[in-house]
Amino acid sequence: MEEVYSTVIIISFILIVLSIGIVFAIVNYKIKQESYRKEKKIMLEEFDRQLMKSQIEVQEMTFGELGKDLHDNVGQLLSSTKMLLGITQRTIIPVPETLNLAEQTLGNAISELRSLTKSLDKEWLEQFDLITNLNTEITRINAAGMLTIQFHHPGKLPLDHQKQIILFRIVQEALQNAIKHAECRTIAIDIKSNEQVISLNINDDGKGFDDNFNGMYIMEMLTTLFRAKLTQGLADFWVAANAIKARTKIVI
Amino acid sequence: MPIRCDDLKPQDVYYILMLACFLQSLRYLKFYRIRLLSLLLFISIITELCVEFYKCRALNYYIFYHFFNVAEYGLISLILIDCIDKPIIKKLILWSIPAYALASFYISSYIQPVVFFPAYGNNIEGLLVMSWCIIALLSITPNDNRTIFQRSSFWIILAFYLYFIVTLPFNGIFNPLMKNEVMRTSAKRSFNIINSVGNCCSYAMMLVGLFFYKWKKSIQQS
Repeated sequence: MEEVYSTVIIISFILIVLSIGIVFAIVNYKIKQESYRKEKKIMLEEFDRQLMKSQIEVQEMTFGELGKDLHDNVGQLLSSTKMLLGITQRTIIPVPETLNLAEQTLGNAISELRSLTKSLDKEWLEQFDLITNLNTEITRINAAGMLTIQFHHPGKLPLDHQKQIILFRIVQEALQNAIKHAECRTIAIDIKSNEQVISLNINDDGKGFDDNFNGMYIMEMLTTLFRAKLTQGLADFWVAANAIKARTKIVI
Repeated sequence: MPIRCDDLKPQDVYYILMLACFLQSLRYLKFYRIRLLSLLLFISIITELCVEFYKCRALNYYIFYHFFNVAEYGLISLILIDCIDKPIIKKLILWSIPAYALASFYISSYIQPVVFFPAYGNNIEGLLVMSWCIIALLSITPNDNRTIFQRSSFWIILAFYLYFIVTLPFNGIFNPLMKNEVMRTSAKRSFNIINSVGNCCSYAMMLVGLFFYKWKKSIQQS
């Protein structure tokens, strides 16, 4: 009987140790699953980021090509036309007022086109900071006289070129939206910066969202959200006092 | 003649479950480990048929278990190898199959002849399989959102593990009890009950595991 008892004791001990194994297996699986979920989430986020980055890159390339075409073709044509007008001015005495006005308007058009092509050219953008670029863009829009843009900023921003370009595109997109859809009279751009966060607020006094709120507008807003996400920031839109507000926050 | 519930022996329930597992496993033969499982179940059915046939004629049937143990260990090990990803452990398990076969042959020839119940062989097999089961359980790697309880490999490994956990203690004391004239009858009855309970639990878990193969297939299609 001693043999039986000792066998029972030894095997019971083995069973207890091995039963703990099952519990360990379950706990181990839970830990593995948690890390698998985290890895999957990181991979998905990285995939989204890469996708957005490539979308933005394609868009930047298109902008660059467009700017180059405008500068090389349309700009050249306008310059030749201005030169021909100048020659005509010299041959006609007295010079008609309409011709002078035409030449002046053409000059404005060339200047506008130059500003526009500059804002589309990424290489040009990389030479300047966001504030300088925005100032140029705002001056160009204000000069047209359709609306007034007020711009408040802290001076130089502690951001790399890539993020500054993305922010610049966000502002461009917002300005275009306001001009195209909002029928506003004034737009306020406010950039604030502290040690950790840069916040960009764009407010307009336009009509806000209405029944004709169209899909194109949504697409443009989504592009802004994507752009903000690309800078590891946040963007949101809301209506206050019947006008659209857009806000972007970027963690430095 | 109609079958009454009183006629139903404990082992009849596990025979039914074993047959159900075998039939269910035939549906997933495209999976290597299920092919091995089917073969194991097929050999189990044949062995049990032979055992029942010998029992009816009051002949010593332990010889079948001596051969069955080697086949069972080999096939279970191959199934578990398929669930483990570490090459060194795979090799270890693979080498343990011929080692166990040789040890079993030696035990059956010199220590515990074929007329006795192969308790030593069973115990060695049980300890080895339980160890491999623990490693296999720890090797289950998540590749989707399923919990461990929704994974077929978990239930199939647990089926082997549970069977050996239940039967191992009694296997160890079976032969000493059989030597005792007073305890012989109760030992045989107890062995039948414990073996049947172990098998029933094991095959029930195996059925759950095979069900999850079906479930996984259905979620892949949807």
